[in-house]
Amino acid sequence: MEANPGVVARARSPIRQWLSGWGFSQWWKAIVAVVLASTALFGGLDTVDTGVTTFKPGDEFSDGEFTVKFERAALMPEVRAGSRVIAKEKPGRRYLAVLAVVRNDGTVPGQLSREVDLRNQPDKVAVDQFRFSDSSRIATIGPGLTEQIAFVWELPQDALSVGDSVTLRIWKKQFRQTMVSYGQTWLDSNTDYGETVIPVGSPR
Amino acid sequence: MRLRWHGLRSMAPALAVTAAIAAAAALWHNLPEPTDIYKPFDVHAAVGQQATGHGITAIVDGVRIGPKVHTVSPPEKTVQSVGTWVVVDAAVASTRDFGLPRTELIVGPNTYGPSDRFFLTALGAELQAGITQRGSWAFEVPPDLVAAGADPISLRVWMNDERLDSRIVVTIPLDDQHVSRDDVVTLEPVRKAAK
Repeated sequence: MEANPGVVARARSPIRQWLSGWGFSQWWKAIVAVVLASTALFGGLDTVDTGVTTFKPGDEFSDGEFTVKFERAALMPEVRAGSRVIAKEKPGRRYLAVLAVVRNDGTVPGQLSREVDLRNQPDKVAVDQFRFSDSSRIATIGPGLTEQIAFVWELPQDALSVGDSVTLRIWKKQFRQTMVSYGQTWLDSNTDYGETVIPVGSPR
Repeated sequence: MRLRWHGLRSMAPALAVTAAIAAAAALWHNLPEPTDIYKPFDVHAAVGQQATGHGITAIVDGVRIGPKVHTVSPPEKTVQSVGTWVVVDAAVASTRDFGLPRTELIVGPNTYGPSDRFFLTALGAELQAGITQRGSWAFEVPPDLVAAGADPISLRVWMNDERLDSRIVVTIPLDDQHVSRDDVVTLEPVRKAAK
Protein backbone atom coordinates (compact mmCIF):
# COMPACT_ATOMS: atom_id res chain seq x y z
CA MET A 1 0.00 0.00 0.00
CA GLU A 2 1.42 3.43 -0.93
CA ALA A 3 1.66 6.28 1.58
CA ASN A 4 -0.33 9.42 0.99
CA PRO A 5 2.24 12.08 -0.09
CA GLY A 6 0.10 14.93 1.35
CA VAL A 7 0.22 13.46 4.89
CA VAL A 8 4.03 13.11 4.80
CA ALA A 9 4.46 16.71 3.65
CA ARG A 10 2.21 18.01 6.48
CA ALA A 11 4.02 16.01 9.23
CA ARG A 12 7.56 16.97 8.24
CA SER A 13 7.88 20.68 9.07
CA PRO A 14 11.42 22.18 8.83
CA ILE A 15 11.65 22.52 12.65
CA ARG A 16 10.64 18.92 13.21
CA GLN A 17 13.07 17.77 10.57
CA TRP A 18 15.81 19.77 12.30
CA LEU A 19 14.95 18.47 15.74
CA SER A 20 14.64 14.85 14.58
CA GLY A 21 18.27 15.01 13.53
CA TRP A 22 19.46 15.87 17.08
CA GLY A 23 21.52 13.37 19.02
CA PHE A 24 21.69 12.86 22.79
CA SER A 25 24.43 15.45 23.37
CA GLN A 26 22.47 18.16 21.50
CA TRP A 27 19.32 17.48 23.51
CA TRP A 28 21.35 17.57 26.73
CA LYS A 29 22.87 20.98 25.82
CA ALA A 30 19.46 22.32 24.82
CA ILE A 31 17.95 21.29 28.17
CA VAL A 32 20.82 22.98 30.05
CA ALA A 33 20.31 26.14 27.97
CA VAL A 34 16.56 26.17 28.73
CA VAL A 35 17.18 25.68 32.47
CA LEU A 36 19.77 28.47 32.56
CA ALA A 37 17.56 30.82 30.54
CA SER A 38 14.49 30.23 32.71
CA THR A 39 16.59 30.61 35.90
CA ALA A 40 17.98 33.90 34.62
CA LEU A 41 14.46 35.02 33.75
CA PHE A 42 13.38 34.65 37.39
CA GLY A 43 16.40 36.40 38.87
CA GLY A 44 19.08 33.72 38.87
CA LEU A 45 20.19 31.28 41.53
CA ASP A 46 20.91 32.57 45.02
CA THR A 47 24.56 32.71 45.86
CA VAL A 48 25.47 30.00 48.35
CA ASP A 49 27.56 31.96 50.80
CA THR A 50 27.85 30.49 54.26
CA GLY A 51 29.16 33.64 55.89
CA VAL A 52 30.33 32.35 59.25
CA THR A 53 32.08 34.83 61.53
CA THR A 54 33.77 33.58 64.66
CA PHE A 55 34.36 36.05 67.46
CA LYS A 56 35.67 35.94 71.00
CA PRO A 57 33.76 36.64 74.21
CA GLY A 58 34.26 40.32 74.91
CA ASP A 59 34.27 41.19 71.20
CA GLU A 60 31.31 42.94 69.57
CA PHE A 61 29.38 41.19 66.81
CA SER A 62 26.78 42.95 64.66
CA ASP A 63 24.00 40.90 63.07
CA GLY A 64 22.54 43.95 61.29
CA GLU A 65 19.84 44.62 63.88
CA PHE A 66 21.75 44.24 67.17
CA THR A 67 25.36 44.58 68.25
CA VAL A 68 26.06 41.94 70.90
CA LYS A 69 29.00 41.49 73.25
CA PHE A 70 29.05 38.35 75.42
CA GLU A 71 30.62 38.88 78.82
CA ARG A 72 30.33 35.59 80.74
CA ALA A 73 28.28 32.44 81.28
CA ALA A 74 27.39 30.69 84.53
CA LEU A 75 25.62 27.54 85.74
CA MET A 76 23.35 27.81 88.76
CA PRO A 77 20.71 25.72 90.55
CA GLU A 78 18.28 28.65 90.68
CA VAL A 79 18.21 32.22 89.40
CA ARG A 80 18.02 34.91 92.06
CA ALA A 81 17.98 38.68 92.16
CA GLY A 82 18.90 39.52 95.73
CA SER A 83 16.33 37.75 97.86
CA ARG A 84 13.87 37.38 94.99
CA VAL A 85 13.78 34.04 93.14
CA ILE A 86 13.40 34.51 89.38
CA ALA A 87 13.64 30.83 88.38
CA LYS A 88 13.26 28.34 91.19
CA GLU A 89 15.32 25.19 91.78
CA LYS A 90 14.05 22.02 90.04
CA PRO A 91 15.17 18.43 90.65
CA GLY A 92 17.47 17.20 87.86
CA ARG A 93 17.70 20.61 86.20
CA ARG A 94 20.07 23.57 86.24
CA TYR A 95 20.10 27.00 84.71
CA LEU A 96 22.61 28.48 82.30
CA ALA A 97 22.76 32.28 82.29
CA VAL A 98 24.72 34.17 79.63
CA LEU A 99 25.41 37.83 80.28
CA ALA A 100 25.62 40.08 77.22
CA VAL A 101 25.55 43.77 76.32
CA VAL A 102 23.04 44.33 73.53
CA ARG A 103 22.53 47.49 71.46
CA ASN A 104 19.69 47.97 68.98
CA ASP A 105 21.16 49.45 65.78
CA GLY A 106 17.86 49.37 63.86
CA THR A 107 14.95 51.80 63.69
CA VAL A 108 12.21 49.65 65.27
CA PRO A 109 11.92 47.84 68.63
CA GLY A 110 13.95 44.62 68.50
CA GLN A 111 12.66 41.29 69.81
CA LEU A 112 15.18 39.58 72.09
CA SER A 113 13.64 36.15 72.63
CA ARG A 114 15.33 34.50 69.64
CA GLU A 115 18.49 36.59 69.53
CA VAL A 116 20.93 34.10 71.09
CA ASP A 117 20.95 30.52 69.74
CA LEU A 118 22.45 28.10 72.28
CA ARG A 119 23.96 25.26 70.23
CA ASN A 120 24.46 21.55 70.92
CA GLN A 121 22.05 21.42 73.85
CA PRO A 122 19.08 19.41 72.55
CA ASP A 123 17.22 19.40 75.88
CA LYS A 124 17.46 23.14 76.49
CA VAL A 125 14.39 25.16 77.46
CA ALA A 126 14.61 28.91 77.03
CA VAL A 127 13.47 30.63 80.24
CA ASP A 128 13.56 34.37 79.46
CA GLN A 129 15.75 37.45 79.26
CA PHE A 130 16.36 39.73 82.23
CA ARG A 131 17.86 43.20 82.72
CA PHE A 132 21.03 42.75 84.77
CA SER A 133 20.45 46.11 86.48
CA ASP A 134 17.21 45.19 88.25
CA SER A 135 16.35 41.61 87.13
CA SER A 136 13.15 42.69 85.40
CA ARG A 137 12.05 40.77 82.30
CA ILE A 138 12.85 42.41 78.98
CA ALA A 139 11.16 41.42 75.72
CA THR A 140 12.26 44.23 73.40
CA ILE A 141 14.86 46.95 73.26
CA GLY A 142 14.28 50.24 71.46
CA PRO A 143 16.42 51.70 68.67
CA GLY A 144 19.65 53.31 69.85
CA LEU A 145 19.40 51.83 73.36
CA THR A 146 21.91 49.51 75.05
CA GLU A 147 21.11 47.05 77.84
CA GLN A 148 23.11 44.51 79.83
CA ILE A 149 20.94 41.40 79.57
CA ALA A 150 21.03 37.90 81.07
CA PHE A 151 19.75 35.21 78.67
CA VAL A 152 18.65 32.17 80.70
CA TRP A 153 18.07 28.53 79.69
CA GLU A 154 17.06 25.49 81.71
CA LEU A 155 19.20 22.37 81.09
CA PRO A 156 19.42 18.80 82.39
CA GLN A 157 21.62 18.52 85.49
CA ASP A 158 24.40 16.64 83.68
CA ALA A 159 24.36 18.60 80.40
CA LEU A 160 27.16 20.95 81.45
CA SER A 161 29.68 21.37 84.25
CA VAL A 162 31.60 24.39 85.46
CA GLY A 163 34.72 24.57 83.28
CA ASP A 164 32.96 23.35 80.12
CA SER A 165 32.29 25.70 77.21
CA VAL A 166 29.09 26.48 75.30
CA THR A 167 28.66 27.58 71.70
CA LEU A 168 26.47 30.61 71.08
CA ARG A 169 25.30 31.57 67.62
CA ILE A 170 23.75 34.83 66.41
CA TRP A 171 22.07 34.76 63.02
CA LYS A 172 22.55 37.75 60.75
CA LYS A 173 19.38 39.62 59.86
CA GLN A 174 17.82 41.74 57.14
CA PHE A 175 14.95 44.21 57.53
CA ARG A 176 12.20 43.13 55.14
CA GLN A 177 8.49 43.19 54.43
CA THR A 178 6.79 40.16 55.94
CA MET A 179 5.07 37.96 53.37
CA VAL A 180 2.34 36.46 55.57
CA SER A 181 1.58 39.09 58.21
CA TYR A 182 1.49 42.87 57.79
CA GLY A 183 4.52 45.07 58.31
CA GLN A 184 8.28 44.97 58.23
CA THR A 185 10.54 42.98 60.49
CA TRP A 186 14.07 41.66 60.88
CA LEU A 187 14.37 38.19 59.36
CA ASP A 188 17.17 35.74 60.10
CA SER A 189 19.58 34.70 57.37
CA ASN A 190 19.54 30.99 56.54
CA THR A 191 23.29 30.84 56.04
CA ASP A 192 25.13 33.73 57.69
CA TYR A 193 25.85 33.90 61.40
CA GLY A 194 28.40 34.77 64.05
CA GLU A 195 29.52 32.20 66.57
CA THR A 196 31.50 32.24 69.78
CA VAL A 197 32.57 29.70 72.38
CA ILE A 198 32.40 30.89 75.95
CA PRO A 199 33.59 29.11 79.12
CA VAL A 200 30.99 28.27 81.76
CA GLY A 201 31.71 29.42 85.27
CA SER A 202 29.94 29.75 88.60
CA PRO A 203 27.78 32.77 89.47
CA ARG A 204 29.73 35.73 90.88
CA MET B 1 6.06 29.27 3.29
CA ARG B 2 3.09 27.16 4.32
CA LEU B 3 5.40 24.64 6.02
CA ARG B 4 7.22 27.37 8.04
CA TRP B 5 3.92 28.81 9.29
CA HIS B 6 2.84 25.36 10.38
CA GLY B 7 6.07 24.95 12.43
CA LEU B 8 5.58 28.33 14.12
CA ARG B 9 1.97 27.46 14.91
CA SER B 10 3.02 24.29 16.70
CA MET B 11 5.44 26.36 18.86
CA ALA B 12 2.79 28.98 19.67
CA PRO B 13 1.53 27.42 22.96
CA ALA B 14 5.06 27.18 24.37
CA LEU B 15 5.82 30.77 23.36
CA ALA B 16 2.54 32.01 24.85
CA VAL B 17 3.17 30.19 28.15
CA THR B 18 6.72 31.59 28.33
CA ALA B 19 5.48 35.11 27.69
CA ALA B 20 2.71 34.77 30.30
CA ILE B 21 5.13 33.46 32.94
CA ALA B 22 7.64 36.21 32.16
CA ALA B 23 4.90 38.84 32.46
CA ALA B 24 3.71 37.33 35.76
CA ALA B 25 7.27 37.31 37.13
CA ALA B 26 7.78 40.95 36.14
CA LEU B 27 4.48 41.88 37.79
CA TRP B 28 5.35 39.90 40.95
CA HIS B 29 8.64 41.75 41.34
CA ASN B 30 6.91 45.13 41.02
CA LEU B 31 3.85 44.64 43.24
CA PRO B 32 3.13 47.40 45.79
CA GLU B 33 4.22 46.54 49.35
CA PRO B 34 1.54 45.37 51.82
CA THR B 35 2.41 48.36 54.04
CA ASP B 36 1.37 50.61 51.14
CA ILE B 37 -1.75 48.66 50.19
CA TYR B 38 -3.16 48.37 53.70
CA LYS B 39 -1.69 51.48 55.33
CA PRO B 40 -3.96 53.35 57.75
CA PHE B 41 -5.64 56.70 57.18
CA ASP B 42 -3.86 59.25 59.36
CA VAL B 43 -5.88 61.81 61.33
CA HIS B 44 -3.50 64.62 62.27
CA ALA B 45 -3.77 66.77 65.40
CA ALA B 46 -1.69 69.06 67.58
CA VAL B 47 -1.06 68.90 71.33
CA GLY B 48 -4.23 69.89 73.21
CA GLN B 49 -6.43 69.25 70.19
CA GLN B 50 -9.03 66.48 70.21
CA ALA B 51 -8.57 64.06 67.28
CA THR B 52 -11.32 61.70 66.25
CA GLY B 53 -10.87 58.80 63.87
CA HIS B 54 -12.99 55.80 62.96
CA GLY B 55 -13.79 54.23 66.32
CA ILE B 56 -11.27 56.13 68.43
CA THR B 57 -10.76 59.60 69.85
CA ALA B 58 -7.66 60.94 71.64
CA ILE B 59 -6.12 64.11 72.98
CA VAL B 60 -2.51 64.66 74.06
CA ASP B 61 -2.29 67.03 77.03
CA GLY B 62 1.49 67.29 77.21
CA VAL B 63 4.82 65.52 77.43
CA ARG B 64 7.25 65.09 80.31
CA ILE B 65 10.85 63.98 79.84
CA GLY B 66 13.29 62.72 82.47
CA PRO B 67 15.78 59.94 83.31
CA LYS B 68 13.61 58.38 86.04
CA VAL B 69 9.94 57.47 86.29
CA HIS B 70 8.22 57.06 89.64
CA THR B 71 4.97 55.11 89.81
CA VAL B 72 2.65 55.98 92.68
CA SER B 73 0.23 53.08 92.35
CA PRO B 74 1.32 49.73 93.82
CA PRO B 75 3.91 48.49 93.32
CA GLU B 76 5.41 51.92 93.96
CA LYS B 77 8.82 52.11 92.33
CA THR B 78 11.32 54.41 90.65
CA VAL B 79 12.77 53.14 87.39
CA GLN B 80 15.96 54.53 85.88
CA SER B 81 16.10 54.52 82.08
CA VAL B 82 19.13 53.38 80.07
CA GLY B 83 18.24 56.40 77.92
CA THR B 84 15.55 58.80 79.02
CA TRP B 85 11.80 58.51 79.56
CA VAL B 86 9.31 60.31 77.36
CA VAL B 87 5.97 60.27 79.17
CA VAL B 88 3.01 61.32 77.04
CA ASP B 89 -0.04 62.41 79.04
CA ALA B 90 -3.22 61.74 77.09
CA ALA B 91 -6.88 60.80 77.15
CA VAL B 92 -8.21 58.12 74.84
CA ALA B 93 -11.65 56.64 74.25
CA SER B 94 -13.39 54.25 71.94
CA THR B 95 -16.41 55.67 70.15
CA ARG B 96 -18.02 52.47 68.84
CA ASP B 97 -16.80 49.22 70.37
CA PHE B 98 -14.47 47.73 72.96
CA GLY B 99 -10.88 47.15 71.93
CA LEU B 100 -7.22 47.65 72.71
CA PRO B 101 -5.60 51.03 72.02
CA ARG B 102 -2.23 50.67 70.25
CA THR B 103 0.43 53.31 70.19
CA GLU B 104 3.94 54.09 69.01
CA LEU B 105 6.22 57.11 69.22
CA ILE B 106 8.10 58.31 66.16
CA VAL B 107 11.38 59.96 67.15
CA GLY B 108 13.58 60.98 64.24
CA PRO B 109 13.94 57.90 62.02
CA ASN B 110 13.03 55.54 64.87
CA THR B 111 9.83 53.92 66.09
CA TYR B 112 9.34 53.16 69.80
CA GLY B 113 6.70 51.08 71.52
CA PRO B 114 5.47 51.84 75.05
CA SER B 115 7.72 50.38 77.73
CA ASP B 116 6.80 46.98 79.15
CA ARG B 117 7.82 48.17 82.64
CA PHE B 118 4.58 50.01 83.41
CA PHE B 119 1.86 47.74 82.03
CA LEU B 120 -0.18 47.98 85.22
CA THR B 121 0.11 51.78 85.51
CA ALA B 122 0.20 53.12 81.97
CA LEU B 123 -2.48 53.48 79.31
CA GLY B 124 -3.01 50.46 77.09
CA ALA B 125 -5.78 48.51 78.81
CA GLU B 126 -8.96 47.62 76.91
CA LEU B 127 -11.24 50.53 76.09
CA GLN B 128 -15.01 50.41 76.46
CA ALA B 129 -17.15 52.59 74.21
CA GLY B 130 -17.99 55.92 75.81
CA ILE B 131 -15.57 55.55 78.74
CA THR B 132 -12.54 57.85 78.54
CA GLN B 133 -9.23 56.68 80.00
CA ARG B 134 -6.87 59.46 81.07
CA GLY B 135 -3.28 58.57 81.90
CA SER B 136 0.14 58.25 80.30
CA TRP B 137 2.26 56.18 77.96
CA ALA B 138 5.98 55.89 78.82
CA PHE B 139 8.59 55.41 76.10
CA GLU B 140 12.31 54.83 76.58
CA VAL B 141 14.45 56.66 73.99
CA PRO B 142 18.07 57.88 73.60
CA PRO B 143 18.40 61.29 75.32
CA ASP B 144 19.99 63.11 72.37
CA LEU B 145 16.95 62.44 70.15
CA VAL B 146 14.63 64.36 72.49
CA ALA B 147 17.00 67.09 73.70
CA ALA B 148 15.72 70.67 73.71
CA GLY B 149 15.65 71.95 70.14
CA ALA B 150 15.48 68.49 68.57
CA ASP B 151 12.98 67.80 65.78
CA PRO B 152 9.30 67.33 66.77
CA ILE B 153 8.17 63.83 67.68
CA SER B 154 4.85 62.15 66.80
CA LEU B 155 2.52 59.93 68.78
CA ARG B 156 0.42 57.47 66.77
CA VAL B 157 -2.70 55.92 68.31
CA TRP B 158 -5.13 53.44 66.80
CA MET B 159 -7.56 50.70 67.83
CA ASN B 160 -6.76 46.98 67.49
CA ASP B 161 -5.53 46.66 63.90
CA GLU B 162 -4.40 49.76 61.99
CA ARG B 163 -4.82 48.28 58.51
CA LEU B 164 -7.19 50.37 56.39
CA ASP B 165 -8.45 52.09 59.54
CA SER B 166 -7.99 55.46 61.22
CA ARG B 167 -4.73 56.25 63.00
CA ILE B 168 -4.44 59.39 65.09
CA VAL B 169 -1.09 61.19 64.65
CA VAL B 170 -0.24 63.94 67.14
CA THR B 171 2.83 66.07 66.37
CA ILE B 172 4.66 67.21 69.51
CA PRO B 173 7.24 70.04 69.29
CA LEU B 174 10.03 69.59 71.84
CA ASP B 175 9.87 73.17 73.13
CA ASP B 176 9.19 74.47 76.64
CA GLN B 177 5.57 75.19 75.79
CA HIS B 178 4.77 71.52 75.12
CA VAL B 179 7.42 69.65 77.13
CA SER B 180 8.44 69.76 80.78
CA ARG B 181 11.77 68.29 81.86
CA ASP B 182 12.45 66.90 85.36
CA ASP B 183 14.83 64.48 87.02
CA VAL B 184 11.91 62.30 88.14
CA VAL B 185 8.64 62.02 86.20
CA THR B 186 5.65 60.74 88.16
CA LEU B 187 3.36 58.24 86.47
CA GLU B 188 -0.16 58.60 87.82
CA PRO B 189 -2.60 55.67 87.58
CA VAL B 190 -5.13 55.65 84.74
CA ARG B 191 -8.44 57.35 85.55
CA LYS B 192 -11.69 56.40 83.83
CA ALA B 193 -14.70 58.64 83.30
CA ALA B 194 -17.85 58.59 81.19
CA LYS B 195 -17.81 61.28 78.55
